[in-house]
Amino acid sequence: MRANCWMGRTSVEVRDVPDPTILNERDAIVKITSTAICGSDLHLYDGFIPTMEKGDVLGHEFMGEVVEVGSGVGDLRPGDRVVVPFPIACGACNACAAGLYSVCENSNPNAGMAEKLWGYAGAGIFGYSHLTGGFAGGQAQYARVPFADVGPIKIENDLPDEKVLFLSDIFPTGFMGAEMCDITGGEVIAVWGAGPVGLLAMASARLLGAERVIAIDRFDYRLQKAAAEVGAETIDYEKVDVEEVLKDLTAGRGPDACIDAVGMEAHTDLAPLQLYDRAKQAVRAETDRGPALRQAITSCRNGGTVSVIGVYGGLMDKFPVGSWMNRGITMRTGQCHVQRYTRPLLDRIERGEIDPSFVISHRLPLEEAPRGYEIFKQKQDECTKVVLSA
Amino acid sequence: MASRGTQALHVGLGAFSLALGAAPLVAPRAVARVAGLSTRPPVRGVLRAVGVRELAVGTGLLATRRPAWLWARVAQDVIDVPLASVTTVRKSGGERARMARVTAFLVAVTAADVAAAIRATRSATGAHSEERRRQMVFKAAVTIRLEEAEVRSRLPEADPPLSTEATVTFAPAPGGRGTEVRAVLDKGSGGPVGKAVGAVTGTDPGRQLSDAIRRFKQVLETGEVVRSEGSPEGTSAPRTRKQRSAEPVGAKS
Repeated sequence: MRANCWMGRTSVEVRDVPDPTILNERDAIVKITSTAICGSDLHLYDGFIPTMEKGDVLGHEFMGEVVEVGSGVGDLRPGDRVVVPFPIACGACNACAAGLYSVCENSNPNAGMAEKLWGYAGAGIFGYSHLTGGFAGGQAQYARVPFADVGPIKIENDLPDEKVLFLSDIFPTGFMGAEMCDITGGEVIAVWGAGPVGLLAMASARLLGAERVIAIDRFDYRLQKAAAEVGAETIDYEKVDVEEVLKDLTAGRGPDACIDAVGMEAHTDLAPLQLYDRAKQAVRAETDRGPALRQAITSCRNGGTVSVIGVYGGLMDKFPVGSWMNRGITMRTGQCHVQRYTRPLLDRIERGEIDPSFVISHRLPLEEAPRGYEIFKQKQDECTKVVLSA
Repeated sequence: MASRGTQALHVGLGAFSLALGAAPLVAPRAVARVAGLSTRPPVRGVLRAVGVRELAVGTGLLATRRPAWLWARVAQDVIDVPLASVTTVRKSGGERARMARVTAFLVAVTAADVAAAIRATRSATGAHSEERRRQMVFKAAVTIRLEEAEVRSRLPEADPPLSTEATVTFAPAPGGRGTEVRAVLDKGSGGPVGKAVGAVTGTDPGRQLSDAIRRFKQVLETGEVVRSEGSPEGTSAPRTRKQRSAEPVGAKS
């Protein structure tokens, strides 16, 4: 089959690789119909996530048709149309029992590797380095899906792929980002990053009852999308002082909650700070650049919440611990526990409350994945989200 | 770790060295007179050097618990005994008696230092071998979300087997979270060299034990050992070091 493979820093290639086979009784093989490039794939592309191997099949947002199931999968059969959550979860350990699927205790065979970096390991993730298990990804014609009786959600209606594909990652991720803000109605929510996850976090904040949503980015077309699609107020951080504007917009209170939908490759208009982080990252003195998270913390109102859904890998410097501690800020984070959200969010899509496909800007065939990565990374051609058809 | 006795030795002798070192620096003439030495400038210079040396050794003794500093005291005693006789003023009767007393004092100090150094060295070597032994005891633990009786009865399903060499114990996990399983493996022999070789060749018993207990948990909770394209055999320390690239394993030919 054809698959998009990581070949080194800023190099991906669509290659011929063997077709996947059943390795575990609870595996299913899915023939992929649609898959997407995630912002977090760019961290792999740019070489900031350790433990990638040349030839790794990328991709963790995919859906398709079940073509084969192992003997341990009771509730799926060939022909079923499914969306596959990006974290692999066994459904049987204490983490899964608590709904914490992205920290499943059994699905990462390389847990020992991750424990060295993080203390304890997270779940296995499709196509996302060997720290998270070394699983082949879904930017391919077929994928092996472990624990197919736990993760995949059947789509039993005629909704097009585009409307349901993002149940695999970015819609639940954005939704969890908003949910962690404990919105009860009337809140002001600021979101750093108006990329696909940021946009869906804004839309989710609205669904949950936020009164005002503020988008912070530097790409005008993305800010315009945030204004048009979710009615966000917008801040271009290259043009104005973000903290000052937020203070002004909230009459001195600060946003009730701040969502970091940027992560480890954050950018700042403050040249010395940008240089500081880039230099430290280049010599491996830190793995994560922190301007978005730092600003989300210092901008948040006293006693507010900072919700972190942008991906971080290791260590960051200049963490504003004093601002966080003295002002009683709650920080909530996590790789999304997708399995917890697929059913309720599919219901919302079916009821017409939201159509997450509004984030899509580019539709390309799988063969053009390398071009898709470059367009997305360079934000060419007003790119917000690339969907690949396999 | 140093024993309490060794610590007391270090503190006592360290303080003694500091006092002995400070005296010739502060009052070289008085020290020379008491020790029956000449008060001429060259001798005062030698006394100052001896003082600096004592201060260095005293600091070393107080700052660390290494037996090497006790041996440093022995080394300076060996220098001091002949030095005292060379620098004595006159070999008159009274001076000779004083000289004998100083030499006797220095020899006594030397004997005490040698005894202290030997004792500390013995105890440090003992501590090392104890430490080495501890390093050869490996532990791994997991919590399995099943009742203790079931976990116990299914221990033979562990692949690789857990119970042949390791001692496995079970306890109910707090909050109804299943069963805590602990495995302890005592590899008393082998030494650090064996362990280092093992770490390179992938036979490190600690890693093997942790792999085995993780695989046991996977089998009990999920039904089988979890395989990925990067680790097709499932959790395995040698495989962690040399991952297969994450492309499909494909049909077996």
